[in-house]
Amino acid sequence: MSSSASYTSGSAPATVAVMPATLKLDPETQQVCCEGNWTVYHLAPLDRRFRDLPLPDDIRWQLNTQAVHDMDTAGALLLFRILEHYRAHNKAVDSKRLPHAHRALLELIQRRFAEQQLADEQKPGILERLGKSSVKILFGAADFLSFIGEFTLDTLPRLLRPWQIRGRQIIAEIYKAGVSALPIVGLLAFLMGVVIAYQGGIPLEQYGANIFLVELVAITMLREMGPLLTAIIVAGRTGSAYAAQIGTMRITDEIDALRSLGVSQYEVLALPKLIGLIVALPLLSLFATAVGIFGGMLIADSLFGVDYQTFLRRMPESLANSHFWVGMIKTPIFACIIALTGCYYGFRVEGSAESVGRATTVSVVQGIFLVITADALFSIVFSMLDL
Amino acid sequence: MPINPHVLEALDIETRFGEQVVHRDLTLTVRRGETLAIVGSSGSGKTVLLRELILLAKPSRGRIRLFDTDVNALSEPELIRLRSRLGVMFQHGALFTSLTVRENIDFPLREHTALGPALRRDIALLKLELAGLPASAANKYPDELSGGMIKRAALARALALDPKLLFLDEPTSGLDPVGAADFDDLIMELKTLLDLTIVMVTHDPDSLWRIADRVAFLGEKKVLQVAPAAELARIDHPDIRAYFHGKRMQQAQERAWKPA
Ligand SMILES: Nc1ncnc2c1ncn2[C@@H]1O[C@H](COP(=O)(O)OP(=O)(O)O)[C@@H](O)[C@H]1O
Ligand SMILES: [Mg+2]
Repeated sequence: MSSSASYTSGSAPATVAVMPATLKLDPETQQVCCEGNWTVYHLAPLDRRFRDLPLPDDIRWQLNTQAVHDMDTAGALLLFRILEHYRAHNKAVDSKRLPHAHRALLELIQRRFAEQQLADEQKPGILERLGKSSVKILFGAADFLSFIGEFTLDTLPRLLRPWQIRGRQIIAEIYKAGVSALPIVGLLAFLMGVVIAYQGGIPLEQYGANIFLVELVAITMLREMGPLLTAIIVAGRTGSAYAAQIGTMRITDEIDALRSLGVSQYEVLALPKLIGLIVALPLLSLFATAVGIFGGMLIADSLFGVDYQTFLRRMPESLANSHFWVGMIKTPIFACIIALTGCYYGFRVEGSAESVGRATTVSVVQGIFLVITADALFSIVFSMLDL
Repeated sequence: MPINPHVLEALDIETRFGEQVVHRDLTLTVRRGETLAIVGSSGSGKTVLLRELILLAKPSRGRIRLFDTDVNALSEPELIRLRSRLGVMFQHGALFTSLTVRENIDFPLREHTALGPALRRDIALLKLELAGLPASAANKYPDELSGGMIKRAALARALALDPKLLFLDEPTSGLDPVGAADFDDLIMELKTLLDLTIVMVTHDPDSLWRIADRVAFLGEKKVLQVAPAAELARIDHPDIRAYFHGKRMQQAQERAWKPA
């Protein structure tokens, strides 16, 4: 039947008008007649309607598939379902006199399918899902802590013997996380300085207090915006890269290969990233702060009549050194948070490519969340210390 | 109109990547209903040829006729339709990792037909069953399956739309000998059951001897010879001799000659 016919229908689908599968009841001959193309592409109309079609009126009816143009397993499966439907209504029809090819297909379905039992996928209820996700969050936090513990245990011995630390890798990480981020960090910090000076300058000007722009720009950039802005950019840029790299290595079993070669995955993959970022992030923050103050200075000079010399002279006079240190001291902590969340989500990747994508996203969201939370804690502590 | 006995014809194919010529004047035809194996040493261009045959890559020159249609003349939408009529099982399965096995099989059905969910589900289960997987595998994700099960799931997806022409890239690579022999049996069984034409790239000497009707040997940038394995083994060409007189090939030949 028609392997040839199906080839032609495959070859010129546009020119040959293909009849969809149809079903007719012929009361005269007491036959259920199948017609048209019983192949997977042409079953949809019949699949939608067959339950609404009239049933044969008693059980002596015959199934006739002489006029079927071509039948594949999907067509046979639909036929099987229709016969089951008749049987369920006590109107079973006789399918013994089918052409050989069709009977073979139908028997194939009956044989393989009759005993087929599939446990339906159960959709969990709302309570179950709520419970599951709460437990997941709790365990997630514990899991993160245990990761940090493992990581420390693994890498501490190495830290005590600094000559064993992988210098080249650390330098490569510093380059990737630090040097190559200079343009974007610089641009955004500059714009931030411009915006702060502009927005702050307008109300200050109304009181003739233009000169305080120096404090406004310098303190904001030094204490908060420089470190925070940098940390957020680095979390998005570098933390996600850590998660993606380590996650991909998980999927390709490279992590297992490392471990089986007797090498600690934390020590090879995570430690250089952590050290690299602890070096790179403070430097990057310093750069961002400087560029941001420069942006503010530009606006102060051009729009608010505070010229460069005044600005630069006033800065050391009116600002305590503590502003600088308060900003800088946060940056290694931010670096730890970003590197550890990125690596953590990377190491927790399981199985699929999608899981790498998820790990990447979550590492950025969590990284930024934790950085801002830490920043808030710092503010509280510093204000208690009157810094 | 006489029926063309060839389902697939690749005529005077030339493939080049920059300066490097991979195929030159390569001609290969596939007869309806046969199992054709493509062999050749590593780097002889088997994968590249397969990609051209399944319309994923275009040869630099030459014609490919598929189901009596000249592929060169087709527009991209027509190519997409034609591709959906080929079953392809990729070497590493290429299952979508974010979907369960059943959803993987369901995917082409949902894309290309308007069938209702119940029938689609049954079709997917049938294909699963045909590929020799237990129903319990239906709701598993690919990373929860063993290598052999992944191959079977990939085969089930390749069969989703009841293609008449099935391409297999190294179907038994990465399987243990028992699993590989089982898979060969499965392919032969499905071939008769579903009236398939099969084109496969393989390195497995056993598959060559047991299930291939003809073997196309790729060498010197073209198809050196197409013949049943037993004939090919006797041909006096240095490359072919070297290939067929390796130890593993000899052992496979002996195994194949044993009465079943
Ligand atoms: N996308 C590509 N770009 C450049 N060269 C390629 C590309 N794909 C394959 N090749 C080259 O074509 C040749 C044949 O490759 P392939 O078909 O993979 O061989 P095999 O027979 O082992 O499957 C190789 O030399 C390979 O380097
Ligand atoms: Mg290859």
